[in-house]
Formats: sequence, structure tokens, C-alpha cells
Amino acid sequence: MRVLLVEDDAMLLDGLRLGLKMHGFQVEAVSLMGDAEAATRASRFDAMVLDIMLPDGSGLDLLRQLRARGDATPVLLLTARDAVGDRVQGLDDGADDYLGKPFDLDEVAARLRALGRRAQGRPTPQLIWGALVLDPARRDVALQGNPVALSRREFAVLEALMERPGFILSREDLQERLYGWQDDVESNAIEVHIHKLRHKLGRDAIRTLRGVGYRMGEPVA
Amino acid sequence: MTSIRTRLLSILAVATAIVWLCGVSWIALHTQRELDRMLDQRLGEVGRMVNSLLRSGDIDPMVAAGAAQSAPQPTEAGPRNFISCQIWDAEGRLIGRSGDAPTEELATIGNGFADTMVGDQPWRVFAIVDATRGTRILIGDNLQERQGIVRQVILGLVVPAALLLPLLAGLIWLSVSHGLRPLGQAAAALRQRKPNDLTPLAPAALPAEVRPMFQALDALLERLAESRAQEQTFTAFAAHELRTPLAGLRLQAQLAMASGTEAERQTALRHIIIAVDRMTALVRQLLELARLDNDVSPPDRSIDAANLLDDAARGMHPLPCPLQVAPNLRGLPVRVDPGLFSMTLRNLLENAVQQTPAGEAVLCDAHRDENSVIITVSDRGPGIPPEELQHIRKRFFRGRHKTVSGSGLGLAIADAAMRKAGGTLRFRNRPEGGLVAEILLPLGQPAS
Repeated sequence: MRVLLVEDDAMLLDGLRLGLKMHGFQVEAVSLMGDAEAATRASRFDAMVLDIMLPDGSGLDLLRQLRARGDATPVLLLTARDAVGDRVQGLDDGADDYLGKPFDLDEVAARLRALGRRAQGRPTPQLIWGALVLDPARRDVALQGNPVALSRREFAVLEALMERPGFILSREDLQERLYGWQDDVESNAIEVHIHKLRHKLGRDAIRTLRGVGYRMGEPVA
Repeated sequence: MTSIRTRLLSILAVATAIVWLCGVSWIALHTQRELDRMLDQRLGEVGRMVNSLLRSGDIDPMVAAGAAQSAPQPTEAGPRNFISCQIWDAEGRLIGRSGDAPTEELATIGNGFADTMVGDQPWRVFAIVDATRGTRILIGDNLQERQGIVRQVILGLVVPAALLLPLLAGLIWLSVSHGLRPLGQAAAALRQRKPNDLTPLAPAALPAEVRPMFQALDALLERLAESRAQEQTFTAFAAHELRTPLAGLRLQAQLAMASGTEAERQTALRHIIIAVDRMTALVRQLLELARLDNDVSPPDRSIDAANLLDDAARGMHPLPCPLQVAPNLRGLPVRVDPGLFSMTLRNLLENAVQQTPAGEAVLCDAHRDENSVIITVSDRGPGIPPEELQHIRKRFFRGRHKTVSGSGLGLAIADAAMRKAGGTLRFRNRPEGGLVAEILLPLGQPAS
């Protein structure tokens, strides 16, 4: 999952970036409301972790702007203000979830996964495509009940494809999912990951549509 | 001071008694005088009447003397008609007297009035001498009888007074009690209050005398409630401010536990130490603010500027920059509290150090102008955006160029301390970048 992290406290920002990465999230981190606004306009995120008190404005304002222009990105408010009134206000302003500081890293990750699941309208925590089962929480993949060892990037590519199995994802879409803005990406990196995935899951597991992108192949019984 | 009620009651009782006594004495004197005048007049009339009876014909002097007693009563209060009449002839024989008149001659005077003693009794006597017939008519009042009348009048005044005085005392007691009742009610209401209830008392229908006290009390309660609300806001803010570093602390601890490599663990542990230092600084600053909010103003005193700066620098270890003190400050008195000055300087220096990139220096110097000593702290940081300059003295305000370890309290503390200490704090951006903070200390009187 690709997550936008908006937090003005440098240590918290750094820790969350690292911690969420350890949980398999692709994290973009900004500390100003303006930067967050620009990021949401520039690309799509699967979820957003938003602090309320930012140096250049209120996270709630950003949230309202986001919803006003029809952006439905799931938002987890993460803030020191967690009285009932604040929580109600945050949720009514369009937040999908609310977590007070201090928080547990595992809980943040779990809530983000739940937000992603809800956004995809998916009933099970696992992603299932035929005999292929991907568990985002435990970060493992099984084919016909047998565990398959995947690298972090391979897992992320597979997860992106399995989230919406019928949809085609372009190479750029996948690149955005996998790498941060700062990361240097080899031009054929995605092809390499796809190649390795096919090697581990079978040739037809992922289909290539020339010049368009990739999508999951027909489900294997 | 004892009970208002008792005091009021005794003052009123004594005053009433004195007024009454004066009134009674005056009435007694006046009555005595009026009675004397009236009765003297009656004596004269009766004497002339008896005389004319004697002259008008052959009337028995005994009958004429008896007629004296038919004169009208002097007052209705009189017990009986006590007038006495004697008629003496030229030879000095008593030829006629009224029934109860003494046989002893009432007076030896000629025409007119006289006070005499007959036996052991004082008498008031009027005499008429008929020169042609040689008779003397003496009309007299026994003065003891007259006193009786006055006594009756006085008694008529004193008895109701004696009855009324306790009644008056009771009424005073009741009305004072009624007037003081709001005090008692307020005291009871205050006793039953919960400690956090600071709503005004505002009892209904207050007497004018106690109203100012309740108004003052309500004003005090209002001020207390205000300062309580401020404290609560501050506490809430402080708690929120502590939550972010706490969250960082917890997060880094979790990362340290979960991290795969030793380098990651070391980083996380280093972050934990930074977070703890940050919270320590925040707690110290909260305490400083609490002290600034609660302490009374320091005494106004003058201190040598150079000594002040030396002491402040000695109190800060390590000093982030050498303090350049202009030589003409030695022996120059400034008016400031040294403790508050040190607090201001330390917070300004901490802020400057936080803002200044590594390897750059913070500049700090002191010089004087016409009527103040100016201590300047300038950093090489990003400065403060102009639109934020007006907010930097607010508590918990953290601008765009905030640092990891900042709390948003340093400049607020510096400002509050300087205002309390009697100095002024100014901020401006350096044209070449960085913030300049200036402390202006007013010059004081030279120490004598």
C-alpha cells in the first residue's frame, strides 16, 4: 500500500516512515500542509496518515479540501488531540479513522490495512486470486497452500495487482507504488520484478498487455 | 471585634436611653416651671376673690376662706384641692381659715409671694393686705403637694418609656438579624461549595451595606475562575505538547525492538535519547512558565550591568557563544531582576542555537545606548517569516522553521520573564538571514 504521511514532528515522521516501511508500506512523508496538498494532487495514495496541528495550517482543513474536490483517499487522523469532541469533529470532517498520540506502530499499520481493505470493498483480510493467497498483515504468499518466498518489491507488485485483479496497472503505476520520490529507479526494475514473480508463481500468473501494462492472469484452480 | 448585633444593640439602647432621659429631664423642669407659674397665678386669683368677698359685705370670714377651696383644680392629676386660706385681722388674730389650713401663720410678709416653712413643710404663699379694714389674706400651696403633681407627670413619661425600651431592643435585634441574614446565608453557601465551584454568589435582595462586600467577593471569584480557566487551557496544551514526544519515544522504542540491524537499533536508541532530552527541556520550560505565572513581581532594584552579564554567563554551561561585553558597561547600573534576566537570556540562546546550522556561530553582545543596555543574540538560522513575527511570543507557537527539539515555549518564556523583570524584548530578522533578539534593560540609579 502507498501511504502519504503528514506529520510535522521530525522524529515522529522519521519513525513512522521507517516503521511503516517495515510493515510493507510504501511511505511518502511530508511535514507541511502545503506539501501534503501538492502530493495529493500529484498522485494517488491508498491511504493517508494526517496530523491535525501542522505549522502552516490545520490538517482538518486539508481533509475538508480533499473531500470537497471528491478525493476519497482513506484518511487516518493521528493527533495529540483525542478527546471525544475532537474525534467526532475529525470523523465528521471526512476522516475514516482516528488514533490519538501516543500510538502503537502495529495498530497504525493494522488500521491502514483495514482502511485499504474497506476502500477496495474487500471482505477478507487476505487477497485471494484462485489458488493464490496473499496476506498483507503477515506479509506472506501461498500458492495452493504452499508458501512462496518473495522479496519486498515482488510482494508489493503482487499486492498491487491482486488488490484489483481485473484492472490493468501501467509500469508507471507500479513504479509509483513501489518507490518513493527520492528513490532512483532502474528503467527496467518493474520488468525484473514481474519476471521473478512469474518464475515463482508460474508463467500465466501475470499477464502483460503490450504497451499498456500488467494485470493478473486467469485464476488457477 | 465582637458581634455587630450586640454592639449595635447596646449603642442603640444606650443612645435611646440617653435621649429619653434628656427628654424626661427637660419635660420635668419645664412642667415644674409651668406648674409654678400657673399655681402662683391661681394663688393670686383666689386671694383677690376672697378679698373681694370680704369687702363686698358682711360675710363670715370663715365662709370666705372656705370659698378658696372651690377654686378650679390646677391639674386633673392633682389628688385633691390642696389650696389653703387664712384671714388675719389687724390685731393679728386668725379670723377665718379654710378647712384643712394650718392654724400657724403661713407667712409674715406684706403683699406678694413668698416661700416659707410652716412646721417642717415648705409652702408657697400669696398675701393681700387690706389697709382700710386691716385684714391680711394668706393663700398658700403646700409645695409637697405641688411636687406630687410633677412626679405624676414624670411617671406618666417614664413608665411607657420603660415598657417601650425592651420592645425597641427587640425590634432592633430583629431588624439587625434580618439585615445580617444574607451574610449568614452566604457563609453557609460558601461552606457547602465544592472547591471547583467558582460561580458568583449573587444572593438575592441584598441590603446596601453588605452589597459592596458581595460584589467584591463575586469579582474575586470571577478573577479566580478566569485564572483557573487559563490554567486549564495551559495544562491541556502542555499535555498535548507532551504527547507528541511521547509518541515519538514509544515509536522509536518499538522500532528498536523490531529493527533487524544493529545500525537501525542504534539510530532508534539515539532518537529515544533525543526525545527524552526534548521532554526534559519541555518540562523545565513548563515549570518556568508556571513560576512566571505565579510569582509576584520582583523588587525594583539596580544592579551593575557587567556583573549581571557575568553572573548570567556563569550560570549557563556551556555558553554557546562568548558574550562580548562593551567596556563601558562596567559600573553601569541597570534595573532588572537577575534571575528573570538569566531565564530570558538562556531561552534566547537556546532558541538561537537550535536555529543555527551546525558549524555556524551564535553572536551575543552587550552595549549601551542613551537610556538602556542592549543585549543582542543573533543566529544564522532561517529567521522568522514576517507573518509569523507577531505570533512568536505566544505559548506553544511553533513556526514553519521549527526544529525537532523546540517546544514553542522558549520565546514565550523569554518574553514573559522580560516583561516581569521590567525590560523589553525585541525581535527582527537580519537582512542576511537569521533572527536577532534584543533585550533592552532600563538604566537604573547608581548604587549609593
